[in-house]
Amino acid sequence: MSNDTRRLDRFNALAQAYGMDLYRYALWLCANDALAKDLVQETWLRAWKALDRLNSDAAGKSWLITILRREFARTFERKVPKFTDVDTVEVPEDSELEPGDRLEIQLLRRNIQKLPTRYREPLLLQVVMGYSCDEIAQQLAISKSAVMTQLFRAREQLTKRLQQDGVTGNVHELV
Amino acid sequence: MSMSLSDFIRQLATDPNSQDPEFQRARNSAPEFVAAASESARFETSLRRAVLVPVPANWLAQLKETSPATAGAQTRRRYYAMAASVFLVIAAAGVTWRMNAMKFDSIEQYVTYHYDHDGEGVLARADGQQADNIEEILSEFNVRLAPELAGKVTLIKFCPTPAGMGAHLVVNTPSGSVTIIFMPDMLVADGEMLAFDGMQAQLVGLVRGSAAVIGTPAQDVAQLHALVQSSFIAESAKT
Repeated sequence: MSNDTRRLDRFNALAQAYGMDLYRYALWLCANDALAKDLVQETWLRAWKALDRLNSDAAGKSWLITILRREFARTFERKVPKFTDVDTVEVPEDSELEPGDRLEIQLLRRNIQKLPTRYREPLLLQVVMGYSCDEIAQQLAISKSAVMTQLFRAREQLTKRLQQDGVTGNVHELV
Repeated sequence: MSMSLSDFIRQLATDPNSQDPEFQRARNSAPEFVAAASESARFETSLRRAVLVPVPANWLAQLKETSPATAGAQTRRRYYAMAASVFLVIAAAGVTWRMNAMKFDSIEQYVTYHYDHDGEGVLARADGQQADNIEEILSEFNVRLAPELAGKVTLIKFCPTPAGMGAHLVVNTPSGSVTIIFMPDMLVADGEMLAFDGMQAQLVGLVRGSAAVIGTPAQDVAQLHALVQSSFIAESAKT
């Protein structure tokens, strides 16, 4: 097997393992489908160029997230576009979902987008990317205790906002 | 010493999948712990459903073809064919992330932002060969390109505009590659010149929507005004 083939196989394996979650993560960062695709594809191009510097495939996920976050900061944060709230993602038809659950998911999506970045980002890393608190702390370069506080606050705010939105009675109650 | 209920609930709201032995032991230690764990599990299910938004069909295939090793002309054709189909699939599936989610105070702000975002990157991706997916992309907007301009297009892709989906083109000229942002649902002051970050852009009113032609000052994009304006032809004008 040639070196190029091995390199391509390795690249494709990373895409297979993390491509879908990276798209979801980018979509939450950008709040826009086309921009999210652009962001992930730019991330992928940079990853391809730097693939030889990835020593272990086990570190692939955090390596890709680092590239994506850096690319997002580079391209979006200098001139921040004014996005509308992400309340336009329609929940796909799911016969298993009760109408109340569908509403709750819709409201959750809107409220996640309204969370302050310091709460939203660790929550997305945890739920979308499956990061542990230690991994989030490393990725965001903050302490583990700060991560735990932010995750708690994120869920607390989501719960309160759901209750304010009138979704009551079956919402996880935080003390 | 066992975990208190308030500490347990705090842990649920922080790291519900924690494998900490004390946390795991507490799960079934008393009815109120069981109830809290059950309620947390229900919330986490909703949370996962909320954030794990649907991924476009063929997304992984598109992504794998992003590598330069597979970015030949044939691949690019497939990529754009898939991009077009993905666009339709997304619309059909009702996963309608609003394309006009971007709001800018002015057209200048949008053009500056857009070019700053990926202008140079897209220029770098153009390989100098005539693009073979122009019709495929522009047919989404019921527009076609006259041959004189189409023959100079080396790359075309979908892109977002403040008023919805548009197209991003790279055009080969004697003074080098220039960028055209086609905004099918936006009106602009025809002929207006913009300057930003060492670049120059001219806005062009089209038979459908508008375009921004972007290049360096040395490329004098205003020279392309007439060609661009006459080259975007509404499909209804087809004979």
